[in-house]
Order: sequence, then structure tokens, then C-alpha cells
Amino acid sequence: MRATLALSNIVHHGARAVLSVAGLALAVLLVYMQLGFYRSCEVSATRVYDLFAFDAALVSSQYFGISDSGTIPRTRLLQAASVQGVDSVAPVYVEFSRWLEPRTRRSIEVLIFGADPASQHFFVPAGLRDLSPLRRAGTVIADLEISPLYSSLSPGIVTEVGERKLEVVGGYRSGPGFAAKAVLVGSDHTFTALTDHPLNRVHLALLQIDNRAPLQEVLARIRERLPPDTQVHSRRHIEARERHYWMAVKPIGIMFTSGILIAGLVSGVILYQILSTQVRNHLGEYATLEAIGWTPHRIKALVVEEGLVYALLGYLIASAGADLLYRVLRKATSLPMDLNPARLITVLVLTLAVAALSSLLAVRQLGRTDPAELF
Amino acid sequence: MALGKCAVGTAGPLAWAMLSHDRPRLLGSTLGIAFAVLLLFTELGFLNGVYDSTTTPLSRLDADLVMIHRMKENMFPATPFPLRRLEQARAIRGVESTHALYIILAASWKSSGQPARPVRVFAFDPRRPAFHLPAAAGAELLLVEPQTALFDAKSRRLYGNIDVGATGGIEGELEGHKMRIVGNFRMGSDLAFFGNMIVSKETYLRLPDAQREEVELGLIELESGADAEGVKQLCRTSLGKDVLILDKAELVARVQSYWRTNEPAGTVFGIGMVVGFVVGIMICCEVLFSQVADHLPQLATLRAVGYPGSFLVKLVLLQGCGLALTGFIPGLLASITVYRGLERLSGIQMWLTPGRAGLVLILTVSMCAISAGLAASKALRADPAELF
Repeated sequence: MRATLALSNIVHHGARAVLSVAGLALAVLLVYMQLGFYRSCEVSATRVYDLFAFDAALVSSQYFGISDSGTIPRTRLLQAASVQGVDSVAPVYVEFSRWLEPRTRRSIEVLIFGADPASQHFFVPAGLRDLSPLRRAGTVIADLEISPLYSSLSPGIVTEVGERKLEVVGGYRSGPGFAAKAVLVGSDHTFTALTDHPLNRVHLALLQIDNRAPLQEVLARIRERLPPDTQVHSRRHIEARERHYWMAVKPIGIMFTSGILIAGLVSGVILYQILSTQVRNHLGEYATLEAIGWTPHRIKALVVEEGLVYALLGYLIASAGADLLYRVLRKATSLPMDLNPARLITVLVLTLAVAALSSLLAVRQLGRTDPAELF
Repeated sequence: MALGKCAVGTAGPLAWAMLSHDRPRLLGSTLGIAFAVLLLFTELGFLNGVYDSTTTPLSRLDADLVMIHRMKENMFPATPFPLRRLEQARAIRGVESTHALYIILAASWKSSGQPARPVRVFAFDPRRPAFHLPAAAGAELLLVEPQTALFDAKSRRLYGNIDVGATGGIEGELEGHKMRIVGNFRMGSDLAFFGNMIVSKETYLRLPDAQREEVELGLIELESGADAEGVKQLCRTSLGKDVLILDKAELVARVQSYWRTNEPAGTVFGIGMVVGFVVGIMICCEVLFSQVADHLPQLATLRAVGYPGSFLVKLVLLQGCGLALTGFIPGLLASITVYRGLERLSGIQMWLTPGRAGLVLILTVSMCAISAGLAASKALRADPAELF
């Protein structure tokens, strides 16, 4: 009976209620948007590692993030490979270059990876399907999940990086995130021809560890073997470092983090504002209920229930809006904006919690009013 | 008649009395608007911060016209053009002199005890500085001595101590070459670059990756009285098709428009601003509407005792504007603090210019006035008797 009272209260107020629900929906949508930005940055930060199948990696002591990595001498790979428990080692080269986008002939920055096709098992079945076409010089595999704003890539297209022509012979779908406009993977020889980077300086060395050996012990043994210019990290650690680099060092992550905080704050205030107005508008009704014998506790429960109904309506509309907003952003930027169940539930719980709290705060004014005064 | 006259004088105090008689209510409404203002400022600040930070070096260029590669649309990737184009431009009538500005986008800077960090390096002839840098006036001349550099004091705190201050200089390595920082300037970081250095052209040319025959930006100084448009035309016809000649404003606009349409960050913060504005405006409506709706009985009373409708409208509009202003001021103060914090934290330049503050003020006041007006029309339509 209470629930129907809450609902009919909302229905009764027509336009006013619609405005309130719209307000709540926008507040929740704001949170969805900022959460989406934040997570898209965090997720795309480590996406590039999904290309590789590895347990640990060697990086330079200067390593900051994959796009500011520094290099290590190639001999470090041999040193690490000789450690007991290390199955195999593969070099990865990575640099930014200038990519002449084939359709619009615009110059755009591209992240280029150089991989040894002989180390196929480091890439397959991770992000890439087959490295063998890369054995032919001047061929690359491209991330096809790039924004349609910059380009559309498909296998068979001939493109230019720096001064050289490259043929796209394959593709995968990942999305380059904020790091670059496009990502190309070529053989190490194609890479060095493009960038003039010497192959004896490696940006990232991937390690596969014998899965019967305890990872930390193997890493400790490698650490003993290596000079201080090289560090070894587990995959989990290196991904955590990349996330930290993007979210706490790069300005964009810091902006998204503060964006969430401000959105959360503002949305909380809106929710409180709207719900307390609702309570105020109904003070007369509540006082009547009190006068006919409802206990304050029962009235409180009714108020919270009404708040939750409002919030839930706002949440549902906001979720539909967020779905649309994410679609638009995904289409425009190819960023990973997913309205996944975890996010839906997080926002639902947050919305309901803030709504309940706001209603409880707002209902305190009821205790202060004398029923007689309201009429 | 008499009532109509007195309306002018009494609407203001009456509007204020209606707002302020319920203090907690006024505080709540003010806070609501203040948060809306903070949201407007933050989203606006993010978007402008991205543009302003990226184009700071360009807007600081000391040049009448700038030569760039035809395909250069952004600070990165490096898109240099042949130096001889700049030399050819010198022969064009109206051109006084030309100067090269070399840029290394990601050089590695290492000072003792610190890991190497990427830094953007600008190189030019120290006798003819490429930038207007008031804080470093004259410091460029120190660079005449080889293997010396100036460091951007507004760089991110990633490089260890780079503040020369009273010390004789800070030793370090740039791209593996010994280098001494002999002074500071102030420019600022952006989304892509953590910090900046300036070296002389001579020092630059000794670095391993230096490009001798290619340059990133060409600065063109015109003879006094020369017509910039005419020179641009002449350059277009007499120079190769691989370069563009723009004035500073055009160059800044070109990079900004690239960010607007091509950088995910530009799109994301653009949409962020739109949504932020919609939400902010909606909060103002919500607050005002409920504030006015609460006073419907008083408004109806005024009407019942003979005050004209125009007086009621004025009363409500004044309430709207009053609330907008009382909310705007704390919102602005909070935003100044947030801007400062964000600038320090992220290295993105957050400028709260009078123009931007004015924009937010106008938005806030007009939204508050419009929603007050809507609420007032409801008050006018209402039957006084029904309101009690």
C-alpha cells in the first residue's frame, strides 16, 4: 500500500514530477559520463599489452610507460634467457612515427611495434592471429578499431609511414585509446627500416616463464643476473605501472579522476536538492498522515521509499541515456566505453544510497514542523 | 495606479525578503547554484585547458608569420620542412628576416640521481629569441655558451630540481650529452609534453638526432609597414607547395581545430562540457523553480490585493537574478581553488579569464531568470483562491 502511495504521489504531481525525475536522470548521467571517461582511459592504458602473450617483461630502468620506455641492450635478453625457469624471450620495439592517413592524406601520429615473426608464440593467440605475413618486408598488421574520424583501415590498403610505403596485410581489433591515433605491427626488420632504430636496443623484452616454476623466484633470479640498467617485472606489475602512468602521471588521467570527484559531488547535491524539495512539497500530506496516527518511523519509511522510486526512475532514464552517450563516444573516438553490468550496478547502488541518505536528511524537517502550522 | 508606481521601488527589497526569510532554504539554494557554477567552470576549464596548454608555445612565438609543413596540424608528430624554404622566403619582398625554430619532441633529460625523463626541446638562435618569454627576458643570451640550456619552471615535477635560482647551474645530460641548465623560463606542460627546455641552435646541432636541413617551425619577421596578407600571397605563389605560411592566430586556430575533431581528448572534453552545461543549467532551473513555487501563496496574495502581473514577474525575476548572483560568487571562488589545484596536479593550464567567467555568469543568470519566469507564469495563471 505504501509503494502505491509513493507512486501515486509522483503521478499526482505531473509536470513537477517529470522535471524532478529529469533532473535526477541528468545528475546520474553526469556520473555515467565521467565514469565512462575514467574507465576508458584506464582500460585502454593496458590494452596494448593484450597483443602479447607473456608472463614477465624486461624494461629499461628509465621505463615510464610503453610510449616513454627507454631501451635496453639486446644482450640482456640472452642473460635473462639463460636463467633457469625462463622458457623463452622475445624483443619488442616500439616508437611513434608519422603516418600518412591513406584516405585524407593527413599526417597523424602512429604507434609502431616491431616484433620478430619467429617469436610467433608471444603474439598468438593473444591479440594477433598470425605473424607469418609480416615476414615480407614492408608489411604491417593494423589495429582496425580506430576512429572513423581519422581513417578506415582494412587489409590490402597501402599506407605511408615516414617516407615509406607499407601494405596492411592483416588486422586485429583493440583500439589505441589515448596513446596514438593508430597502431601498426610490423616485423623487426620492417620496424628498423621505418624508424632507423637499431635492433640491438630493445624497448620491451617479453618473457615466458615455465608455468611449473614459481614466478617470483624466477624473477628474483633474473634480477640477480641483470645490471641496474634493466628491470624485470611480472605482467601484472607492468600493467599496474602503465595504469599508474596513465591515471596518475599523464594529465588526462588526473583530469578524469577529478572529473569523477566533481561529478559525484555535484550529482549528490542535485539528488539532495530535488528530493528535499519533494519532501518539502509534501509536508502537508505527511503532517496529515502524522495527525491520523502514522508513527514518525512509518512516515520516514514512506519518504525514503518515495525518494528511492524517484531515484530509480531517474536511474533508468539515465542508463538509457548513458547507453546512447557511450555509443556516440565510441563511434567518435573508438574508446572502450562499455555500459557493462558492473558499471550499471555500481551506479545503481550509488544512486540509491545517495537518494536514501538525501531523503533521510530531508525528512528531518518534518520532525520540526507542527502539523497545525502547515494549514 | 499607486501600486504600479510603488512597484519599482519595493520589488527589490521584497524579492530579497522572500528569499532570505528562510535562511536554511536560501543556503541550500545558493549551494545548489554554486555547485552548478563549479560544474560549468570545471568542464569549460578542462576543454579550454586542453586547447590552451597545447597551443601555448605557438601563441608565445615572436613572429609576424609562421612557416610550417603543409601537413603539420598539431605539435606532434614531428613534421619538419626543408630549411631552404625558409631561406627562399627571405628573398620575398616585405620579409625582413627569417629564423628557424627546431623542436625535439621527446628528448631524454637526465639529471643526477633522477631517472631519464622525456622533455620537449626548442632550439633557436639565442641572439634572436623565438618566444616572448617575459619571465626569462635576456636569459636566452646565456645560451650563447655551448652545452647550456634553459628549463621550463612550469614543467611537471618529474625532473628533479630544475630551478636554477641562485645556483650557478644544474648539470645533467640531454640525449646523453653533458648539458648545464643556466636559467629558467615559464611556458607550461600539456597533455602530451611533461616539460620544456630551450637550447641554442649550435648546441642543438651537436645532439645525435639533430636535423640540419629540416626545421619544424619557421619564423618570419616582416619589414615595418609590410602587408602581411600580401606577403602570404607572394609566399604561396613563389614557394614550394610543401609549406604553409600562417599568422600566429591562424596557426593556433589550426591546431585547436585539429584537436577538436581528431584528438579523442578533444572530443571527450567537448562532450563533457556539453553534458556538464546541460546538467548545470538544469540545476539552476530546478533550484529556482522550487524556490518560486514555494512562494506561490505569497505571490497570489500580492495579486489578490491588486498588484499588477508585471510586478509579480519583476519580483520573481529579481529573485532569480539574486539567487544566481549569490550562488555564482561562492561557485566562482570554489572554481578558482579547483583550477589552481588541477593546474598544479595535472600540469594542464586552467585559465579563468574574465571572458570565461562572464560566459558562466551570463549562463547562470539567464538560466535562473528563465526558470524564474516559467515559475512566475505558473503563479500568474493560478487562481489565488486555489493556492490556500
